[in-house]
Amino acid sequence: MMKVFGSKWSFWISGLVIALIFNLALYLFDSPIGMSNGYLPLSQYCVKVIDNGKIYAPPAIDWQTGFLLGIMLGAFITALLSGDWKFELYPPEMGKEFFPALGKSILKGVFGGFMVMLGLQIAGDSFFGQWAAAMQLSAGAWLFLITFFVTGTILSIILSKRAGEGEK
Amino acid sequence: MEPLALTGNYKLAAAIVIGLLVGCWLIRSDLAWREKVQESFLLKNGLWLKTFLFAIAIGTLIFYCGKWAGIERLNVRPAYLWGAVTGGIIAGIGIAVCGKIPVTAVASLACGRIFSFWVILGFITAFPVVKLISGMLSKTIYNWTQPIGNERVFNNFASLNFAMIWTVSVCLLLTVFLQYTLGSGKKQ
Repeated sequence: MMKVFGSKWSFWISGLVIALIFNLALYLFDSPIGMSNGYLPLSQYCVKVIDNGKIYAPPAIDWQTGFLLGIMLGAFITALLSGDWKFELYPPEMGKEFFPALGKSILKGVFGGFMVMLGLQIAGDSFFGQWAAAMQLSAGAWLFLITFFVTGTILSIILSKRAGEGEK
Repeated sequence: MEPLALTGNYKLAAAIVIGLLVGCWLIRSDLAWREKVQESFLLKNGLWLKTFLFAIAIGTLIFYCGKWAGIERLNVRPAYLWGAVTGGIIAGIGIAVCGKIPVTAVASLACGRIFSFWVILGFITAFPVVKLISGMLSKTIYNWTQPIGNERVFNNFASLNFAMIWTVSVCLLLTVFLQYTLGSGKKQ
């Protein structure tokens, strides 16, 4: 048991496991797993609190929010058991000075997260939903995933080169 | 036989268990970390892409068997050509900047990477914006083309077109190609 938690899985074990999980979810729920709808009640709750300036009782947990909580718990337990748990306020590559690194981390995090979720919502499904749809040969999911990877790769290379020039 | 299609508390309990498995999977497979995702997009480490393609190859085969046995049904949300392309471009920009998708952000926050909270805040702020622009989206990108016909694609699944065999073969070939070009991604 501890050996499973003590070593990293190779790509083929990871691929096999997630393929089984996706298909198990399709059997159990008759719906693919995804997290976008898990975030939706949280977003609606935040908007309600900000609009009215009052703290309300948190929204009831639906199955997708339960999925989100399960991921947090699963990742937390596994990271503790495997020694991967580490407290980090900002990623190490953001620099060594505290406030500039924290500021950069906040800006990049909020902007990047906003763009990822905006893109997923426009495409109509979560990333896991698109992945599961690709297994069901959905042309729309394949289009999304190819565009996503091509854009992500091109922009990552451009940003990395610019960051490298900046350091010089 | 047909899908179990759980409801109520059983569905919630099963979702939490599946979430636990996904959380464990993310950490054990090394896919929750920002640097691994970024290395993949910089074509320095093939771990993410290989896992992704291998999972599609195996998942497609399992889904085909499940569909044949009647325990799984085609379950895909409607997609639009320009919706998928525009969404892919915008989400691609996002991942290049923050290096996270919804599942990895939640998992890495639970592992002490506090900066993932800002990414989750970004996710949450996107919903009201989507609601604001939904009318405009319905008149534009969702209106330019008809929904993409998934049923038509699926009908070819077991016909002489063998879309399933092609998908599985191409994904496996790409996985082998990446294994010999981008490396194993075992560098810690």
